[in-house]
Amino acid sequence: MDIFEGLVSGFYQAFSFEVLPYLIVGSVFGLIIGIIPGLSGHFAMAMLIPFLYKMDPAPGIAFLLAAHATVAQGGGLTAILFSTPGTGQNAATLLDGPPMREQGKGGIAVGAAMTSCFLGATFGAIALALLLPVLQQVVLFFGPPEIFVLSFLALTFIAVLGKEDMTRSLIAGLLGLLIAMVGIDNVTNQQRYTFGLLELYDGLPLVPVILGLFAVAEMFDLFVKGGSLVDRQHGTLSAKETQKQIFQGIGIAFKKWWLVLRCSAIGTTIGIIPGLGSAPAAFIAYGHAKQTSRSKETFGKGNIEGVIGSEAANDAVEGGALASTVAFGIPGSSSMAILLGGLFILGLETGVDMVTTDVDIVFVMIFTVIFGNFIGTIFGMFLVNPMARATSIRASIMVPILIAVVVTGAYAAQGSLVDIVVALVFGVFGYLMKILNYSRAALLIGYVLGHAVEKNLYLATQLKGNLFFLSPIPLSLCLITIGFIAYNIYGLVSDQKKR
Amino acid sequence: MAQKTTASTPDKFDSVAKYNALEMGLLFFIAVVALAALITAIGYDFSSSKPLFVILVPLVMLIGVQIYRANKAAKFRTSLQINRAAFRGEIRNFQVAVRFFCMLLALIVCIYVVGHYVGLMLAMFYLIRWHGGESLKVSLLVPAITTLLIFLLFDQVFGIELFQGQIYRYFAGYQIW
Repeated sequence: MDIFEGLVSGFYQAFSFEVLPYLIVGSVFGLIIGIIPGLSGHFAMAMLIPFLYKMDPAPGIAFLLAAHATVAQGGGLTAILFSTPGTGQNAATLLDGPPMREQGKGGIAVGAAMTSCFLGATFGAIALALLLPVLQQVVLFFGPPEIFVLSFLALTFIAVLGKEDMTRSLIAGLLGLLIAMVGIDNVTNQQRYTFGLLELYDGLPLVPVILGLFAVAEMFDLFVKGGSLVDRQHGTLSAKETQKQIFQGIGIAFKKWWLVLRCSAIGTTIGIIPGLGSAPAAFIAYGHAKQTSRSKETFGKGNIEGVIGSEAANDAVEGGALASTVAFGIPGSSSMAILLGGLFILGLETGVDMVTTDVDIVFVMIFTVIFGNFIGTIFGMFLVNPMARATSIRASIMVPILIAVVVTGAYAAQGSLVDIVVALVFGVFGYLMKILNYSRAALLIGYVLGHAVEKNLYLATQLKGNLFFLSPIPLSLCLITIGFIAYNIYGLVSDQKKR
Repeated sequence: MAQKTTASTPDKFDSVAKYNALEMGLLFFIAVVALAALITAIGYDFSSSKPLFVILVPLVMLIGVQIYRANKAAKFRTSLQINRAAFRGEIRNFQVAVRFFCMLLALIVCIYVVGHYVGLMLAMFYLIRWHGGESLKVSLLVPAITTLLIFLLFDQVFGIELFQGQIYRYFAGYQIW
């Protein structure tokens, strides 16, 4: 399928009656999850994964990705109105959003933030579409040895560039790979770590592991913290005033199109690099907006350019992150790892197949990101105040509701009670990882990549012998990996010496 | 939940020491698992154990490094004391997390015995009423509405039949043991 055919087919699929309802429901769900502090994009995706077993590829992808696409919009809203970022990626919005609210311009900030998110996401999605012809060529150079080494490079990037400690993240990544080895080896039929349990022959099930790590772990956190989720002392603006200001904010975001474009480019570029993610992209874009602004001194005191810059970069990241996920099967973040898991469930293969024969699916993703964010903006424009009420739900009520949904989701995937136990075990583990600063993203990516790593290691040794890594591309990737780790260790050691 | 947490007394250890102790405990657990996995892998066919060695050798080394770092940050003896205190129920957050874990275990048992829907309703009622301290009306309404929505979504929309419980299965004529 060529790119134009894929574009047309993807468009028709994304806007068909079979897909559109899922896209809309997913977007609204993501928006609400984004508004609730403590629940993030990967939580939204984890909750939807169990439903994929009953869905076709296009609706499944639209459902999953739409939920993820709008989370940042919801999070920005909470950051501005309640001084609490709905998700970690909205932390940069806290610098100028709340001061604007205190000046009585909360609605303007919300409107500008939501529109910037939409424009940023659109930029990222278009960038992905434009990258497709390049990816189609590049991906042909990546055989089993290259993919094997690239997987380790990606894990190293995630461990080093992530917000968690490097050693801890590397441990998490390797643990993820180890967990993926549970089950029967497809090549030799050797049972590995199954303890004779029939339920483990196919390996640890994906859905309960994801739900445990990201949903049950959050429940533990909410339960231990208790109380209400946000400080509501600021309250919300009147509905009429908010609406008026939101439209003003939308206008300002469009007027600052050049800033949106530059910050979106920053976001998309950072998205391609595994491990960096939205939060650093937002801060770098914020810094850029400040540097290039004529009114630098008002940054941090309620400058709308600060909100626009960080929110545009926030959502533009997705286009870049999707590129490495669909082309090489290497997810750059936990959300992309969940998406990759979702693609497996839907029976889709990433890599050469995805960018050559299933181009329509890539375009379904692109249109989902664009239209999902558009829906998020529309809902945000008209329903800011009612949706913001989601933050007033007490943890004492929300935790039991979410636990009910999570437990049901874990069971529903395969109809097995063992899966609920798996979700619980990984929930405990995920919670410990969260509070001890171990990267759950690295563990999940290791787990999702595990089979690819093993398969490609086997194929690489069969095709090129034990010294397969001496071929030009694998050797270059190995050197980058080693150099990257060495450079960071050197940085850490010299930092310690300075102290 | 909220009432219980505010009512409890603060514990005597500072949070950094507590996290260090917890990390020590976790690392020792992972180290034992990794070593056991490494020893087990030796017995496998070499083709199957090759990727395991690629993963486990650096993993064991990194765990060693992290144990060294954690031990440097806080004395092993202090960590041991804190872990003992936690198991005696003297660390508030640990106690709350363990309580929540036990509640989730009880939920699984409930689902196994009385079925998914009844199990969920009972667990939600218990959590909202006794841990959350909510009113009886809220404690009854929230579980009922949530369970109904779950039934509609999973059973009616997606056609996924949830576990009916051993009691139901027994009366329906299934061989349950």
